[in-house]
Amino acid sequence: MATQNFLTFQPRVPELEEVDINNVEFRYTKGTDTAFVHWFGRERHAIILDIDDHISVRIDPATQDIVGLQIEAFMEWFVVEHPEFLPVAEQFGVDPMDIEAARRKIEPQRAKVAALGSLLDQVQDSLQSAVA
Amino acid sequence: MRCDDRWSQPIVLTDDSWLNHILADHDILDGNGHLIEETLVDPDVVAYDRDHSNGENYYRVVSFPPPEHESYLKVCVRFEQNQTSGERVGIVVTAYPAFRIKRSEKVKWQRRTS
Repeated sequence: MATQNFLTFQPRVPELEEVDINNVEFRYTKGTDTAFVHWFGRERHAIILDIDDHISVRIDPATQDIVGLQIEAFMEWFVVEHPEFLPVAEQFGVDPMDIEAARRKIEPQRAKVAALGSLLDQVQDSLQSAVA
Repeated sequence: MRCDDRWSQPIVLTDDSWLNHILADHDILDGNGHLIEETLVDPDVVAYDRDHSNGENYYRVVSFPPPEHESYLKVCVRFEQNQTSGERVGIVVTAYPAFRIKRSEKVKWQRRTS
């Protein structure tokens, strides 16, 4: 039996204005090392679609909306590869000791790249306002 | 919940996993817990977990009403050796519906159709 893909529609990314920030939930479960973002609350029914080795989107099959994200190997891999997300780990409720352990695993070169990326974003924003 | 999978390996789902890893983020499974056992006992596909060498993921085609929408139910199991009996026991770490078999997972077994 060949494996199947049950996604038969193009999922829709909601506009930022459609999201009530009070309903957005960040959650982390240490047992599975998975971070969840639910931008319409946790009650929305969702089916998961992997879009990357570790990142999946949560899709409500009734509305065809993308209603959240789940990131696997979040502390083991994701924040180590993407150190710019380390501060976000606190929002997910990750234990500060685990955050510190992940920080120690980050290669200095990668941390520099993340810091530079963040600085360049800041420069870009400031430059746009400065010349506007 | 405790059951034997298709290959008679004992698999355990604890209340902690059910409440904190499954229902907490996959509300769609509320009232559909029996599907987890069905998936373990009669899967359509079993794949090796990408990140855990002792992990295997069981997939079964299911339908969640309403509205009716087919998908796989993915049940993630990690196997451990029981210290005293030496028995290989599977622990369900999470379960959720998925549109497809994860692309980065290597299929270990899949049901043959006649």
